[in-house]
Amino acid sequence: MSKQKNSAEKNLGEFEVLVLAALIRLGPDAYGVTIRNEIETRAGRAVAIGALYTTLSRLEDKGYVRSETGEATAERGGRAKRYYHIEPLGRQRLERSLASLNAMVKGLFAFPQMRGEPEQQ
Amino acid sequence: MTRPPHLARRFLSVVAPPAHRNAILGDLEEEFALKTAARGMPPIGWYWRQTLSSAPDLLISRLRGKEGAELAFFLLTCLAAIAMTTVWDIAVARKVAQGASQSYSSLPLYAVRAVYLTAQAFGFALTGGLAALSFARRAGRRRSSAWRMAPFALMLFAPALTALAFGQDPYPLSFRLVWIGCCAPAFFLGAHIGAGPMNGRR
Repeated sequence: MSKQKNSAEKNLGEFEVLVLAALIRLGPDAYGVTIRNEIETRAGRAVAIGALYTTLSRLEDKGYVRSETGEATAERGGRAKRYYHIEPLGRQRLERSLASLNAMVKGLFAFPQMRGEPEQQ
Repeated sequence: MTRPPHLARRFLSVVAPPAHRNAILGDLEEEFALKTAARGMPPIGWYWRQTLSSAPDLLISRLRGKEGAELAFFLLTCLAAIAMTTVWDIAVARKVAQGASQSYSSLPLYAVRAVYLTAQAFGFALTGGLAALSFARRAGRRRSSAWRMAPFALMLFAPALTALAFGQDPYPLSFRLVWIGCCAPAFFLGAHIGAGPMNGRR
């Protein structure tokens, strides 16, 4: 029980943040192909389809996203799309993760190490 | 319309979890079609790279789920069955054969071996019956048919088959072949009886 609580309170991983952000940006058109393209275009990160679906499955198990089966098309070999939507709990976790990241990053460029200057004694 | 490489698709459909199999194959096929239209030639290498880079994640995801538990159960049952047949061999079959040999000193070697083989076959039938029972209870009726125990039997007979293949078998070839010929059917007969009235039903 406490382990479950701990895992629920933990911040999201970097890739989970990217996936949830992509779901918000894509809205109702979020499925495997568009999510991958969104992450590759905006974050400049190549995404293996296996990693994407493993993450989506984990987020779904946690109740952060839900999925529904869409239409099958000829160019997909007659296979149906699987659309993903972010749930309120997922949005809440994403906000919390981004807030803690912001808190760590805010003002970071004021430090000389970030400007490539030597550390002051 | 050019389709993605058949072998890669087959491989993906094996490693992908059933819940996501259609979506994954469909997504890749859609991207494959888009890239083919854009480049004017099918991106075979791209499809294989996608397949191979996704395989580890998909396999781990499968093994963490229900299928991993089933695989662990299968391997543990195999180990238990190997242990059971070994103990049966040492504690029962050899003693029965020795007893027969001592009681009837004029008994020829082939008759002693026949007694040993009968006792061994009985042990394998018992193992097959117990394994079929435990599989049927765990996985439902679908798994209870005796023929579904073939992978299990292969694991059980693997040590003997390996020894036979590499010529390191302590027994003569003819004896080992007769041994397999007796014990394997006994195993399946035991599995058939163990599966009982549920056998063959869905």
